[in-house]
Amino acid sequence: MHFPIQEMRKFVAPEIVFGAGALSLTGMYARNLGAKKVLVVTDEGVQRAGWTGKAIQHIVGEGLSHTVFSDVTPNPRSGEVMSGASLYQKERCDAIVAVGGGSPIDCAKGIGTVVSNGGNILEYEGVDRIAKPIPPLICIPTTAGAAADVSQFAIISDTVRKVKIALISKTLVPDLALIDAETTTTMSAELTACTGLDAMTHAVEAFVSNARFNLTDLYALDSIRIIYNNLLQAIEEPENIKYRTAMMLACLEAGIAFSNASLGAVHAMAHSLGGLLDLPHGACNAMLLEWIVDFNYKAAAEQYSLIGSAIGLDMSAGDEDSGKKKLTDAIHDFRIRAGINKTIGALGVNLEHIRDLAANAISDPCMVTNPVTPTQNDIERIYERAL
Amino acid sequence: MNEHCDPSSEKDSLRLKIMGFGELSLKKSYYPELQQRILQLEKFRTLLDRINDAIFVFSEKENRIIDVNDAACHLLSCTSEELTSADAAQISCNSSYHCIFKLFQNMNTDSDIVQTPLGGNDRQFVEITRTKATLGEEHYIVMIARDITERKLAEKKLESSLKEKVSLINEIHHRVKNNMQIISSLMNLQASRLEDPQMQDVFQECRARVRSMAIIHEKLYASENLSKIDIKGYAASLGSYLRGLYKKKNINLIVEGECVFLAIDRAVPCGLLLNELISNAVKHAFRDEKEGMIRVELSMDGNRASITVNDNGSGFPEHISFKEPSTLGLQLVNDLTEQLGAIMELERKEGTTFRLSMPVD
Repeated sequence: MHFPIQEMRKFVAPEIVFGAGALSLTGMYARNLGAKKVLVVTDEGVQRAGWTGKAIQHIVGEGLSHTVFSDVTPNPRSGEVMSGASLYQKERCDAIVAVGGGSPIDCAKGIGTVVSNGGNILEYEGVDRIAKPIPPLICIPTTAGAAADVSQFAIISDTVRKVKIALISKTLVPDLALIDAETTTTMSAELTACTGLDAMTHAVEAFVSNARFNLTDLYALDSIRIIYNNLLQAIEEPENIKYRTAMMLACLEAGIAFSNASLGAVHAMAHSLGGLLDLPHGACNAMLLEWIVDFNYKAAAEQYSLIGSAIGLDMSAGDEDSGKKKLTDAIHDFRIRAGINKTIGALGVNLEHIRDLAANAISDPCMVTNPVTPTQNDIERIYERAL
Repeated sequence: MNEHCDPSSEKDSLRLKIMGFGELSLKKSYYPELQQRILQLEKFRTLLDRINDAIFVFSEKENRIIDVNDAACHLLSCTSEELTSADAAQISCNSSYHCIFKLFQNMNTDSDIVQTPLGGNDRQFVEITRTKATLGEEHYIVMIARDITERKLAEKKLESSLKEKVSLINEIHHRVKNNMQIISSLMNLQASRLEDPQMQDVFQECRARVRSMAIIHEKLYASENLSKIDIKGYAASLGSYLRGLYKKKNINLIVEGECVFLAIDRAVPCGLLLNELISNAVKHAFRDEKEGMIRVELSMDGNRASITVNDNGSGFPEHISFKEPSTLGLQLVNDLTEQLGAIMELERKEGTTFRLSMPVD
């Protein structure tokens, strides 16, 4: 292995507690972070599964008060963020605990941004725009996918412009992630597949990003290996804590990798799909990944080849094109076996959408770290192939 | 790896920011904000220490003063450590401290303002604003004490100086009245030596005019308010004086209606005017000891006063023109009416009625 990097790199991660019982530390840490009244941000599904109630139990157990904000939809909206922020201020909260998948955690980050910095959440679109630190934020992920609990990203839907905006800032890295795989045992097979393939996409994109370096590579490659060897089993045996734990760990590693190395064209294009047509994020990623690998391969052949080897492909034989074919086929097969067997066309995307979709994807901040800079035309062709 | 060569490009700067090299891209830290807030608090603290009012913060839960500013220390001649110590009440020998402390414990309203001497003597006075406040879950009382010793002294001085002036003014009115009475008596003496009844009459008219002014001063020093007098009371005194002067016991004098208050500069012409009207009625309306009645009626309408002098006597002679008079009395009536900015009407029906309507300032 050689070390080509002369450019500066930075690595930021929250305090992380991983393992059985992590959730039971919620109250203690909230108190240690100075909380007196906690805003619990969650969604109805997670509430029904009982995880929100458990976290609250530990908050109350430490003698802290709380208020629940559960008005969060998948692909959280700017309006939801603003209502959450008003509730935080009205109830005079001083810390946030987010319980759920990417949506409640991203919404919690948005709420924190608004209560510290004022104004509307849409004003903070973009990179490095948040001046004041958000209140103490504890995240309890209940999916093994988004990894918003460790990342510097928050994705919010602007329902007026019909785009997903990305907020990228080191101040959005939570103070603490309490990662307990038990919380993922209540996920359906479909949700397990979507979130698992989301994590896989994080790892692959981070591993080929032009902002990657050795620290992020370690996490990304390990994550890919774990997901490839455990996701299908977790779908098969949802209650088996061994597979759930492996997936939770892989998701965490992918999260640490992409939070520091950022992402690429898959996410840029998936954000565009989510914004325009409100499509599920994990599924969009899964359906686009093989096409982007195909497009990017030449620009990061060495890294892609390492991915292939990590999932057990023989990458030494044959030329670059054969390597590309082996990897894209394997990624395609993997998602089909995970049950994501549709295309974005089947989700309602048609040729008329492609121009707008590509325009939004081009200007997404995730595109900046893609190993090659695509043109509008390139992106349109990729969407067409993925239809 | 795709190297970016042009560092000035927007994309490159975005990429650097994503990697965490933007201006704001520190790992989340409250420290800079905290430092700023601490600085703000220090500035605020300095301001509080610079002001002259003494500020005390009292914790109801701990039953002690927990914070004070410099002025508070100065007021009670204690250090802030002494004032805020848990056993301040025991160790403090200072009676001012106990006076302040008592004010915290005896507070029943949410906020009030009290004035009190400090430390059981009358040498130092404070005005104290007490306010209850809740911060978090703790209840406090904030007390702001302003030293008003100087103000109290000034108030006292002002009060005694005012008293002095009031008695001085009373004295002046009294003396003016007395002097006028002396003039009137001198005229009487002078008149008694005259044999011509017409000349005596002239002297009597003069006496009445002097007396009408003397009554104004008499009323003034007897009134609570030194600047205004009640014309109703004045008319009654004047009327009874004139009835006596002209020896007309056969005339019944009635003064009725509302009180009309006039400042001294208008009361004097008004008094002279009433003197002429009432004298006229007393002297001329009832010949030959005939029974009669003179009625003075006063009323207010907004900022106008109307005064009516009515008699049921023989009536105002037809041959005398009220507007172009030949006598001094009526001449005066017209001049004074004008001076008062008033309107005068004469009604010759079942006796004589003069109606005066004038603005009251």
